[in-house]
Amino acid sequence: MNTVDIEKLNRDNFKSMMNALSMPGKIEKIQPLFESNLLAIANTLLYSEVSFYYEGNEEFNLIEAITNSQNDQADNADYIFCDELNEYLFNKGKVGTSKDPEYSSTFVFKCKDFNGLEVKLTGPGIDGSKKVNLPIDKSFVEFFNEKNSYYPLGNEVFFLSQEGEITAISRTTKMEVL
Amino acid sequence: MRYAFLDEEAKKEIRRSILKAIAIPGYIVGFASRELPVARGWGTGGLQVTLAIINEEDTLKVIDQGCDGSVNAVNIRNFIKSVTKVNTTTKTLDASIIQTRHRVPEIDLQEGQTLVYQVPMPDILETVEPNISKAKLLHANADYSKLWVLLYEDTSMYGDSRISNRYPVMVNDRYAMDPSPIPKYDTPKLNDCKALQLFGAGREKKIYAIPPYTKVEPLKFEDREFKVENFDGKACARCGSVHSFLDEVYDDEGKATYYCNDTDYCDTQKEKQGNN
Repeated sequence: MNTVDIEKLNRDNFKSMMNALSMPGKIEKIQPLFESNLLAIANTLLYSEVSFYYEGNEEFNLIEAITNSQNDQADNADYIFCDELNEYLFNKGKVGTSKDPEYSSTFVFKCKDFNGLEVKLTGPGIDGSKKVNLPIDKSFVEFFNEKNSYYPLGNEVFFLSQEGEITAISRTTKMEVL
Repeated sequence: MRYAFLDEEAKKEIRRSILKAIAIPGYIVGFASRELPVARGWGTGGLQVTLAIINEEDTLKVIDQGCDGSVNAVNIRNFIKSVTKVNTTTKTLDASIIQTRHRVPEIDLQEGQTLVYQVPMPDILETVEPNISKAKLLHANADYSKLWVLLYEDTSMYGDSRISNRYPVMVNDRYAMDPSPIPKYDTPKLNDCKALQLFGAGREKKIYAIPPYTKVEPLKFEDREFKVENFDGKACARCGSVHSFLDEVYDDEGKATYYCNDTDYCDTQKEKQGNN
Protein backbone atom coordinates (compact mmCIF):
# COMPACT_ATOMS: atom_id res chain seq x y z
CA MET A 1 0.00 0.00 0.00
CA ASN A 2 1.27 3.47 -0.84
CA THR A 3 1.57 5.69 2.19
CA VAL A 4 2.06 9.42 2.25
CA ASP A 5 3.93 11.39 4.91
CA ILE A 6 1.65 14.41 5.14
CA GLU A 7 3.91 16.25 7.56
CA LYS A 8 6.86 15.93 5.16
CA LEU A 9 4.69 17.23 2.35
CA ASN A 10 3.66 20.15 4.54
CA ARG A 11 7.21 21.16 5.42
CA ASP A 12 8.39 20.87 1.81
CA ASN A 13 5.41 22.81 0.49
CA PHE A 14 5.69 25.44 3.21
CA LYS A 15 9.33 25.97 2.23
CA SER A 16 8.22 26.57 -1.36
CA MET A 17 5.55 29.03 -0.23
CA MET A 18 7.96 30.86 2.09
CA ASN A 19 10.50 31.19 -0.72
CA ALA A 20 7.81 32.33 -3.16
CA LEU A 21 6.43 35.00 -0.83
CA SER A 22 9.82 36.27 0.30
CA MET A 23 10.85 36.82 -3.34
CA PRO A 24 7.68 37.86 -5.23
CA GLY A 25 7.59 36.57 -8.80
CA LYS A 26 9.90 33.63 -8.04
CA ILE A 27 8.50 30.26 -9.13
CA GLU A 28 8.67 27.31 -6.73
CA LYS A 29 7.51 23.71 -6.95
CA ILE A 30 4.60 22.19 -4.99
CA GLN A 31 4.09 18.47 -4.33
CA PRO A 32 0.48 17.29 -4.58
CA LEU A 33 -1.62 15.70 -1.84
CA PHE A 34 -4.47 13.39 -2.86
CA GLU A 35 -3.37 14.16 -6.44
CA SER A 36 -4.25 17.83 -5.91
CA ASN A 37 -1.88 20.77 -5.66
CA LEU A 38 -4.57 22.99 -4.14
CA LEU A 39 -5.37 20.48 -1.39
CA ALA A 40 -1.64 20.19 -0.67
CA ILE A 41 -1.43 23.96 -0.19
CA ALA A 42 -4.61 24.03 1.90
CA ASN A 43 -3.30 21.25 4.12
CA THR A 44 -0.05 23.17 4.61
CA LEU A 45 -1.79 26.38 5.65
CA LEU A 46 -4.91 25.32 7.53
CA TYR A 47 -5.17 24.31 11.18
CA SER A 48 -7.76 24.55 13.91
CA GLU A 49 -7.33 28.25 14.70
CA VAL A 50 -7.73 29.61 11.18
CA SER A 51 -10.68 29.90 8.85
CA PHE A 52 -11.03 29.46 5.11
CA TYR A 53 -13.39 30.05 2.23
CA TYR A 54 -13.29 27.92 -0.90
CA GLU A 55 -14.98 28.41 -4.24
CA GLY A 56 -14.42 25.51 -6.63
CA ASN A 57 -14.88 21.84 -7.29
CA GLU A 58 -12.18 20.09 -5.28
CA GLU A 59 -12.77 17.77 -2.33
CA PHE A 60 -12.21 20.38 0.34
CA ASN A 61 -14.24 18.44 2.92
CA LEU A 62 -11.30 16.11 3.23
CA ILE A 63 -8.90 18.92 4.17
CA GLU A 64 -11.47 20.47 6.49
CA ALA A 65 -11.74 17.15 8.31
CA ILE A 66 -7.97 16.57 8.51
CA THR A 67 -7.04 20.09 9.60
CA ASN A 68 -10.10 20.89 11.75
CA SER A 69 -10.12 24.41 10.29
CA GLN A 70 -13.24 26.59 10.17
CA ASN A 71 -15.23 27.15 7.00
CA ASP A 72 -16.19 30.84 6.99
CA GLN A 73 -17.61 33.65 4.85
CA ALA A 74 -15.32 35.18 2.23
CA ASP A 75 -15.25 38.54 4.02
CA ASN A 76 -13.99 36.99 7.24
CA ALA A 77 -11.83 34.04 6.19
CA ASP A 78 -8.09 33.95 6.89
CA TYR A 79 -7.44 31.98 3.70
CA ILE A 80 -9.43 32.21 0.49
CA PHE A 81 -8.99 29.53 -2.15
CA CYS A 82 -10.53 29.68 -5.59
CA ASP A 83 -10.30 27.54 -8.72
CA GLU A 84 -9.87 30.65 -10.87
CA LEU A 85 -8.84 34.29 -10.58
CA ASN A 86 -11.83 36.00 -9.00
CA GLU A 87 -11.75 39.78 -8.56
CA TYR A 88 -15.05 39.82 -6.72
CA LEU A 89 -13.63 37.48 -4.07
CA PHE A 90 -10.38 39.42 -3.99
CA ASN A 91 -12.27 42.59 -3.17
CA LYS A 92 -14.17 40.89 -0.36
CA GLY A 93 -11.11 39.62 1.53
CA LYS A 94 -10.29 41.37 4.81
CA VAL A 95 -7.18 43.59 4.88
CA GLY A 96 -6.47 43.69 8.62
CA THR A 97 -6.37 46.77 10.83
CA SER A 98 -3.67 49.36 11.45
CA LYS A 99 -2.88 47.74 14.81
CA ASP A 100 -3.16 44.17 13.52
CA PRO A 101 -2.42 44.14 9.79
CA GLU A 102 -1.76 40.38 9.95
CA TYR A 103 -5.50 39.73 10.49
CA SER A 104 -5.95 39.78 6.75
CA SER A 105 -6.83 37.24 4.07
CA THR A 106 -4.30 35.31 2.05
CA PHE A 107 -5.48 34.29 -1.41
CA VAL A 108 -4.63 31.18 -3.39
CA PHE A 109 -5.87 31.27 -6.98
CA LYS A 110 -5.54 28.27 -9.26
CA CYS A 111 -4.50 28.89 -12.84
CA LYS A 112 -3.58 26.87 -15.93
CA ASP A 113 -0.08 28.35 -16.07
CA PHE A 114 1.58 31.69 -15.41
CA ASN A 115 1.24 32.98 -18.96
CA GLY A 116 -0.73 36.19 -19.02
CA LEU A 117 -0.14 39.83 -18.42
CA GLU A 118 3.47 41.01 -18.40
CA VAL A 119 4.09 43.13 -15.34
CA LYS A 120 7.02 44.81 -13.66
CA LEU A 121 7.36 44.03 -9.97
CA THR A 122 9.17 46.19 -7.45
CA GLY A 123 9.37 46.15 -3.66
CA PRO A 124 10.86 44.04 -0.86
CA GLY A 125 12.09 40.65 -2.02
CA ILE A 126 12.92 41.92 -5.49
CA ASP A 127 16.42 42.93 -6.56
CA GLY A 128 15.57 46.29 -8.15
CA SER A 129 12.74 45.29 -10.45
CA LYS A 130 11.60 42.10 -12.10
CA LYS A 131 9.56 41.48 -15.26
CA VAL A 132 7.24 38.50 -14.93
CA ASN A 133 4.13 37.05 -16.53
CA LEU A 134 1.18 36.52 -14.22
CA PRO A 135 -2.23 34.97 -14.96
CA ILE A 136 -4.05 38.25 -14.31
CA ASP A 137 -5.62 41.12 -16.25
CA LYS A 138 -5.29 44.88 -16.03
CA SER A 139 -8.29 45.35 -13.79
CA PHE A 140 -6.82 42.90 -11.24
CA VAL A 141 -3.63 44.97 -11.20
CA GLU A 142 -5.70 48.05 -10.42
CA PHE A 143 -7.64 46.25 -7.68
CA PHE A 144 -4.44 44.84 -6.20
CA ASN A 145 -2.62 48.17 -6.16
CA GLU A 146 -5.70 49.92 -4.75
CA LYS A 147 -6.27 47.34 -1.97
CA ASN A 148 -2.65 47.44 -0.94
CA SER A 149 -2.32 51.21 -1.15
CA TYR A 150 -3.13 51.52 2.55
CA TYR A 151 -0.06 49.52 3.56
CA PRO A 152 0.45 47.82 6.01
CA LEU A 153 -3.15 46.83 5.33
CA GLY A 154 -3.49 44.45 2.40
CA ASN A 155 -3.38 40.92 1.05
CA GLU A 156 -0.92 38.35 -0.21
CA VAL A 157 -1.80 36.40 -3.34
CA PHE A 158 -0.45 33.01 -4.42
CA PHE A 159 -0.96 31.66 -7.94
CA LEU A 160 -0.91 27.90 -8.31
CA SER A 161 -0.47 26.34 -11.75
CA GLN A 162 -1.73 22.99 -13.01
CA GLU A 163 1.86 21.78 -13.18
CA GLY A 164 2.29 22.30 -9.45
CA GLU A 165 4.23 25.53 -9.61
CA ILE A 166 3.57 28.40 -7.24
CA THR A 167 4.41 32.09 -7.34
CA ALA A 168 3.31 34.96 -5.12
CA ILE A 169 2.88 38.69 -4.86
CA SER A 170 2.98 40.35 -1.47
CA ARG A 171 1.14 43.41 -0.16
CA THR A 172 4.43 45.30 -0.44
CA THR A 173 4.76 44.41 -4.13
CA LYS A 174 4.13 47.20 -6.61
CA MET A 175 2.82 46.02 -9.99
CA GLU A 176 3.12 47.96 -13.19
CA VAL A 177 1.58 46.77 -16.47
CA LEU A 178 4.13 46.67 -19.31
CA MET B 1 10.14 11.38 18.19
CA ARG B 2 8.19 13.64 15.85
CA TYR B 3 10.23 15.32 13.07
CA ALA B 4 11.59 18.67 14.30
CA PHE B 5 10.19 18.11 17.82
CA LEU B 6 7.16 20.44 17.56
CA ASP B 7 3.74 18.99 16.80
CA GLU B 8 2.25 19.78 13.40
CA GLU B 9 -0.37 22.18 14.77
CA ALA B 10 2.36 24.22 16.49
CA LYS B 11 4.45 24.30 13.32
CA LYS B 12 1.49 25.48 11.25
CA GLU B 13 0.83 28.30 13.69
CA ILE B 14 4.47 29.40 13.65
CA ARG B 15 4.56 29.10 9.84
CA ARG B 16 1.50 31.34 9.56
CA SER B 17 3.25 33.98 11.70
CA ILE B 18 6.38 33.65 9.56
CA LEU B 19 4.43 34.18 6.32
CA LYS B 20 2.65 37.24 7.76
CA ALA B 21 5.97 38.58 9.06
CA ILE B 22 7.51 38.21 5.59
CA ALA B 23 4.51 39.98 4.05
CA ILE B 24 4.85 42.94 6.44
CA PRO B 25 8.61 43.53 6.80
CA GLY B 26 9.61 44.70 10.28
CA TYR B 27 6.14 44.23 11.80
CA ILE B 28 5.98 42.15 14.99
CA VAL B 29 3.63 39.16 14.75
CA GLY B 30 2.57 37.28 17.87
CA PHE B 31 2.76 33.51 18.17
CA ALA B 32 2.10 30.92 20.86
CA SER B 33 5.62 30.15 21.98
CA ARG B 34 5.92 26.47 22.92
CA GLU B 35 7.76 24.75 25.74
CA LEU B 36 11.07 23.31 24.58
CA PRO B 37 13.79 21.35 26.33
CA VAL B 38 15.66 24.67 26.55
CA ALA B 39 14.84 27.44 29.01
CA ARG B 40 13.12 30.53 27.68
CA GLY B 41 15.66 33.25 27.04
CA TRP B 42 18.23 30.79 25.70
CA GLY B 43 17.25 31.00 22.06
CA THR B 44 13.83 29.33 22.06
CA GLY B 45 12.39 31.88 19.61
CA GLY B 46 15.07 31.25 17.01
CA LEU B 47 14.85 27.55 17.74
CA GLN B 48 11.09 27.42 17.11
CA VAL B 49 11.45 29.38 13.87
CA THR B 50 14.20 27.03 12.71
CA LEU B 51 12.20 23.92 13.66
CA ALA B 52 9.16 25.25 11.77
CA ILE B 53 11.03 25.93 8.51
CA ILE B 54 13.61 23.14 8.42
CA ASN B 55 13.33 20.10 6.14
CA GLU B 56 15.48 17.16 5.09
CA GLU B 57 17.31 19.09 2.36
CA ASP B 58 18.60 21.79 4.71
CA THR B 59 22.13 22.22 5.99
CA LEU B 60 22.25 23.90 9.37
CA LYS B 61 24.78 26.23 10.96
CA VAL B 62 24.36 27.64 14.46
CA ILE B 63 26.49 30.47 15.83
CA ASP B 64 26.60 32.27 19.13
CA GLN B 65 28.43 35.60 18.97
CA GLY B 66 30.02 34.50 15.69
CA CYS B 67 31.30 31.22 17.11
CA ASP B 68 30.14 27.73 16.12
CA GLY B 69 31.83 26.24 19.17
CA SER B 70 30.25 28.04 22.11
CA VAL B 71 27.99 26.15 24.52
CA ASN B 72 24.70 27.69 23.38
CA ALA B 73 25.44 27.09 19.69
CA VAL B 74 26.71 23.53 20.19
CA ASN B 75 23.70 22.49 22.25
CA ILE B 76 21.14 24.05 19.92
CA ARG B 77 22.87 22.50 16.89
CA ASN B 78 22.99 19.07 18.57
CA PHE B 79 19.35 19.31 19.57
CA ILE B 80 18.13 20.27 16.09
CA LYS B 81 20.28 17.55 14.52
CA SER B 82 18.91 14.96 16.95
CA VAL B 83 15.29 15.74 15.99
CA THR B 84 15.75 16.31 12.25
CA LYS B 85 18.88 14.38 11.17
CA VAL B 86 19.84 17.32 8.93
CA ASN B 87 23.42 17.90 7.88
CA THR B 88 25.24 20.52 9.88
CA THR B 89 28.14 22.72 8.91
CA THR B 90 30.33 25.48 10.25
CA LYS B 91 30.79 26.98 6.76
CA THR B 92 28.60 30.03 6.19
CA LEU B 93 28.40 29.46 2.43
CA ASP B 94 27.40 25.78 2.79
CA ALA B 95 24.49 26.45 5.15
CA SER B 96 20.90 26.92 4.00
CA ILE B 97 19.72 27.89 7.50
CA ILE B 98 21.95 29.82 9.88
CA GLN B 99 20.65 30.32 13.39
CA THR B 100 22.47 33.13 15.11
CA ARG B 101 22.75 34.87 18.41
CA HIS B 102 23.94 38.48 18.24
CA ARG B 103 25.95 38.44 15.00
CA VAL B 104 25.47 38.55 11.24
CA PRO B 105 28.07 36.31 9.56
CA GLU B 106 31.07 38.15 8.17
CA ILE B 107 30.86 36.38 4.79
CA ASP B 108 28.10 37.81 2.57
CA LEU B 109 24.91 35.75 2.60
CA GLN B 110 23.36 34.47 -0.63
CA GLU B 111 19.88 34.04 -2.11
CA GLY B 112 18.24 30.90 -0.80
CA GLN B 113 19.84 31.18 2.62
CA THR B 114 17.81 31.97 5.73
CA LEU B 115 19.29 33.74 8.73
CA VAL B 116 17.35 33.06 11.94
CA TYR B 117 18.04 35.44 14.82
CA GLN B 118 17.52 34.64 18.49
CA VAL B 119 15.89 37.77 19.89
CA PRO B 120 15.64 38.73 23.56
CA MET B 121 13.66 42.03 23.21
CA PRO B 122 11.56 42.16 20.04
CA ASP B 123 10.09 45.66 20.34
CA ILE B 124 12.46 48.57 19.80
CA LEU B 125 9.91 50.89 21.43
CA GLU B 126 10.23 49.05 24.73
CA THR B 127 12.95 51.42 25.96
CA VAL B 128 10.81 54.52 25.32
CA GLU B 129 7.30 53.08 25.79
CA PRO B 130 7.09 50.18 28.26
CA ASN B 131 3.32 49.83 27.86
CA ILE B 132 2.96 47.18 25.15
CA SER B 133 -0.51 48.21 23.97
CA LYS B 134 0.57 51.85 23.68
CA ALA B 135 3.69 50.74 21.79
CA LYS B 136 1.49 48.76 19.39
CA LEU B 137 -0.55 51.90 18.74
CA LEU B 138 2.63 53.86 18.08
CA HIS B 139 3.69 51.23 15.53
CA ALA B 140 0.22 51.38 13.95
CA ASN B 141 0.54 55.14 13.53
CA ALA B 142 4.22 54.94 12.55
CA ASP B 143 4.75 57.35 15.42
CA TYR B 144 8.42 57.00 16.31
CA SER B 145 8.80 60.49 17.81
CA LYS B 146 9.84 59.04 21.20
CA LEU B 147 12.73 57.19 19.54
CA TRP B 148 13.75 60.37 17.75
CA VAL B 149 13.61 62.30 21.05
CA LEU B 150 15.88 59.68 22.63
CA LEU B 151 18.30 60.05 19.72
CA TYR B 152 18.07 63.85 19.94
CA GLU B 153 18.81 63.87 23.67
CA ASP B 154 21.88 61.69 23.16
CA THR B 155 23.06 63.69 20.16
CA SER B 156 22.63 67.06 21.87
CA MET B 157 24.37 65.93 25.08
CA TYR B 158 27.06 63.59 23.74
CA GLY B 159 27.34 64.46 20.06
CA ASP B 160 26.07 61.03 18.98
CA SER B 161 23.75 58.23 20.01
CA ARG B 162 24.90 56.20 23.01
CA ILE B 163 23.27 53.00 21.74
CA SER B 164 26.08 50.47 21.32
CA ASN B 165 24.13 47.47 20.03
CA ARG B 166 20.57 46.56 18.91
CA TYR B 167 20.58 49.92 17.14
CA PRO B 168 17.05 50.85 15.92
CA VAL B 169 16.48 50.41 12.20
CA MET B 170 13.68 51.49 9.87
CA VAL B 171 12.47 48.67 7.63
CA ASN B 172 11.00 49.40 4.20
CA ASP B 173 10.41 53.03 5.30
CA ARG B 174 7.58 51.92 7.60
CA TYR B 175 8.39 49.97 10.77
CA ALA B 176 11.05 50.77 13.36
CA MET B 177 12.56 47.42 14.25
CA ASP B 178 14.86 45.89 16.84
CA PRO B 179 17.62 44.08 14.93
CA SER B 180 18.41 41.96 18.05
CA PRO B 181 21.61 42.77 19.98
CA ILE B 182 23.95 42.73 17.00
CA PRO B 183 26.83 45.22 17.10
CA LYS B 184 26.45 48.44 15.09
CA TYR B 185 29.13 46.96 12.82
CA ASP B 186 26.51 44.47 11.55
CA THR B 187 23.62 46.91 11.13
CA PRO B 188 24.46 47.93 7.52
CA LYS B 189 24.49 44.23 6.53
CA LEU B 190 20.74 44.04 7.12
CA ASN B 191 20.11 46.42 4.24
CA ASP B 192 19.45 44.85 0.84
CA CYS B 193 20.60 41.48 2.19
CA LYS B 194 20.24 38.63 -0.32
CA ALA B 195 19.12 36.19 2.36
CA LEU B 196 15.77 35.97 4.13
CA GLN B 197 16.09 37.16 7.73
CA LEU B 198 13.73 35.79 10.37
CA PHE B 199 13.65 36.94 14.00
CA GLY B 200 12.20 34.82 16.80
CA ALA B 201 11.65 35.87 20.42
CA GLY B 202 10.47 32.83 22.39
CA ARG B 203 10.06 34.40 25.83
CA GLU B 204 8.24 37.40 24.35
CA LYS B 205 6.28 35.23 21.85
CA LYS B 206 7.04 37.36 18.80
CA ILE B 207 8.24 36.78 15.24
CA TYR B 208 9.28 39.33 12.64
CA ALA B 209 11.13 39.25 9.35
CA ILE B 210 13.05 41.06 6.66
CA PRO B 211 12.64 39.58 3.16
CA PRO B 212 15.66 39.59 0.82
CA TYR B 213 16.47 42.87 -0.96
CA THR B 214 14.65 45.05 1.56
CA LYS B 215 15.62 48.58 2.52
CA VAL B 216 16.84 48.69 6.13
CA GLU B 217 18.29 51.91 7.47
CA PRO B 218 19.58 52.83 10.92
CA LEU B 219 17.51 55.56 12.58
CA LYS B 220 19.74 58.60 12.23
CA PHE B 221 19.50 62.36 11.83
CA GLU B 222 20.33 63.49 8.31
CA ASP B 223 23.35 65.50 9.43
CA ARG B 224 24.81 62.67 11.52
CA GLU B 225 26.82 59.84 10.04
CA PHE B 226 26.06 56.31 11.27
CA LYS B 227 29.30 55.22 12.93
CA VAL B 228 30.21 51.61 13.56
CA GLU B 229 32.84 50.09 15.85
CA ASN B 230 36.33 51.14 14.86
CA PHE B 231 39.16 48.61 14.56
CA ASP B 232 41.66 50.89 12.84
CA GLY B 233 45.24 49.76 13.38
CA LYS B 234 44.17 46.39 14.75
CA ALA B 235 44.29 42.99 13.09
CA CYS B 236 43.30 39.44 13.96
CA ALA B 237 46.25 37.75 15.68
CA ARG B 238 45.31 34.44 14.04
CA CYS B 239 44.47 35.23 10.40
CA GLY B 240 45.68 38.82 10.14
CA SER B 241 42.34 40.16 8.93
CA VAL B 242 41.77 43.89 9.18
CA HIS B 243 38.27 43.72 7.70
CA SER B 244 36.30 41.87 10.37
CA PHE B 245 34.64 42.46 13.71
CA LEU B 246 37.33 41.77 16.31
CA ASP B 247 37.16 40.42 19.85
CA GLU B 248 39.50 41.94 22.43
CA VAL B 249 41.14 39.22 24.53
CA TYR B 250 43.36 40.01 27.52
CA ASP B 251 46.18 37.72 28.72
CA ASP B 252 47.42 37.38 32.32
CA GLU B 253 49.72 40.40 31.91
CA GLY B 254 46.77 42.54 30.80
CA LYS B 255 47.96 42.73 27.20
CA ALA B 256 45.15 42.94 24.65
CA THR B 257 45.13 40.68 21.59
CA TYR B 258 42.50 40.78 18.84
CA TYR B 259 40.80 37.85 17.12
CA CYS B 260 38.03 37.59 14.52
CA ASN B 261 34.69 37.23 16.25
CA ASP B 262 33.37 35.14 13.34
CA THR B 263 35.27 31.85 13.61
CA ASP B 264 34.25 30.61 10.15
CA TYR B 265 35.51 33.82 8.55
CA CYS B 266 38.80 33.45 10.45
CA ASP B 267 39.15 29.79 9.37
CA THR B 268 38.36 30.72 5.76
CA GLN B 269 41.03 33.42 5.80
CA LYS B 270 43.53 30.92 7.22
CA GLU B 271 42.65 28.37 4.52
CA LYS B 272 43.15 31.01 1.80
CA GLN B 273 46.57 31.87 3.24
CA GLY B 274 47.47 28.17 3.33
CA ASN B 275 46.57 27.80 -0.34
CA ASN B 276 48.74 30.73 -1.42
